[in-house]
Amino acid sequence: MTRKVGIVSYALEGFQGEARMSSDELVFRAVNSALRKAGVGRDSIDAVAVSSVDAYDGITISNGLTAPAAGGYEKDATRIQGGGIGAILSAYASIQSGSAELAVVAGGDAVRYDDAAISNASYDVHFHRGSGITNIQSYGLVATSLLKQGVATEDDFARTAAKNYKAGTTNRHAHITSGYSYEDVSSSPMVAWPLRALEIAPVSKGSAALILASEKRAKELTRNPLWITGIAAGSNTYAGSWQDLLEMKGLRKAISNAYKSASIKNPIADIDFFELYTPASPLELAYYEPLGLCERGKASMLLKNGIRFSGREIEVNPSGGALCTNPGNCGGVYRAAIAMEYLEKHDHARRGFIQDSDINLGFMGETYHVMILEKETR
Amino acid sequence: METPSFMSKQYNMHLDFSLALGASFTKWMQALKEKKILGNTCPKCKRVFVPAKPFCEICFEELKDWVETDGTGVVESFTVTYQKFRNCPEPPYVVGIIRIGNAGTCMTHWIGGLDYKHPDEIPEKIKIGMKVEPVWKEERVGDPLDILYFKPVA
Repeated sequence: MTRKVGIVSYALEGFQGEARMSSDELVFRAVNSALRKAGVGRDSIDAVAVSSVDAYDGITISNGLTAPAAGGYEKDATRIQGGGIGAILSAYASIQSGSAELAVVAGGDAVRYDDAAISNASYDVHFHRGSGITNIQSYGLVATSLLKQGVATEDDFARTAAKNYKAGTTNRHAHITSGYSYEDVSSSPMVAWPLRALEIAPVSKGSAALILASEKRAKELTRNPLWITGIAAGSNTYAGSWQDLLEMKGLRKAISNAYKSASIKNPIADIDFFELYTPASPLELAYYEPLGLCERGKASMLLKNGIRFSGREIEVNPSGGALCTNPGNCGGVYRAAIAMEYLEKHDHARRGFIQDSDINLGFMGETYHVMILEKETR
Repeated sequence: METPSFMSKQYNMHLDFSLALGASFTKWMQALKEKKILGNTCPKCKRVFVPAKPFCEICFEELKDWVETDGTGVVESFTVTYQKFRNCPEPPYVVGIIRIGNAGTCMTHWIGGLDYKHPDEIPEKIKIGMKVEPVWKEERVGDPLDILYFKPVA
């Protein structure tokens, strides 16, 4: 029998600039804050899932430090690499199985590193690493295909970035709040044609924590739990055909499973906002169609006209997305927390969609995670 | 002397690894010494893999049958790098997604043989679907970088 799983608390720490403390201290602060907000202590927690990538922590087993910082001492503690929603899925499964009633999901980013060099090292050493490919070039390769397919133009890439930067100015947690304009983006240096510097996400430092609960515990702890009504994952092939990669079958599978689980028939009618992991602006346009927001090849039109249903605007990346805040370890946890804040602040909004993946390390063999969060139906 | 409110610790890691390449990768690499680009075929879906793989991810079958390609390919996508990245070539350089022969998969390699005097014009000189061929190193060791780059077929 399926159990309901809710999120009863969240906390965010940092993101505005350089980290001034280590990952474990950052994680401790966020988890401690989320537990206090939920009105529970560490002793109430049954399971802990930490989201981290060892290379981003500059250590070969990052959760050795961060699992205790997340409250994991003597607990069922797991580390998930590959995106924060993967860690949420692990905690969700612990509650679904009945082995946990209350679980912490957390991640933290503190170490300064060379993002592109770590990405290059994530590619296989025998075929790809030597070709000078990094996450940035992999986004550029996808962007070139979007141009060729007529999905979008270079102008659209810049407009999408400017849209995200504008949204980021209203996000009190965002790393980049400068509100770069279309002109700023389209005149920024070319990094990997067709990608310009301001079309690529920064590397952000901070931490995020969530407290997940079974239905019974959620209702004891809060009058306003948010329920995870859909959560799913999907992987792509590694160095398969280029068409396979562009088709993003792993993403499509995850979306379709999550929509089915949450009984979503028409995403534009049923979902109020989307928080997507798009570390380069063209990817947002690439995701519109698999999400069911537009027909194939119509992303550019959607960008120009906006997404509307019954007179209301459906926002994509109201937080400013990854272009404004991009922590490598806790990104998915951050986006889930940001989505919770959005649902708290917007009475009209009932349901949010959060997407995550490991493409911060670059495309190829990527795994996607998606989650649907919704308010209690009254 | 003022006491800083926080400190940073600088460090790096230099680690040595050795990866066993297995029979499929080894055969593919060894053929490069002879200026040959091989592929292997899935017995079920018949898809040709270039570079070779030990198994088909979709059919989940071992790949034991081999074919020799003529080495030419087409550009499926490309990106022109203008910024220096650590452990990567000096810019500008072009990373291409190249499909060799009738392969169902792609190689990632450089596209060269172009006039790089005007870097801004490089994107206009490459077309998706353009036919390319390998330019080989004189001395080859059995590595994808035995191919210097792929150049447009004249």
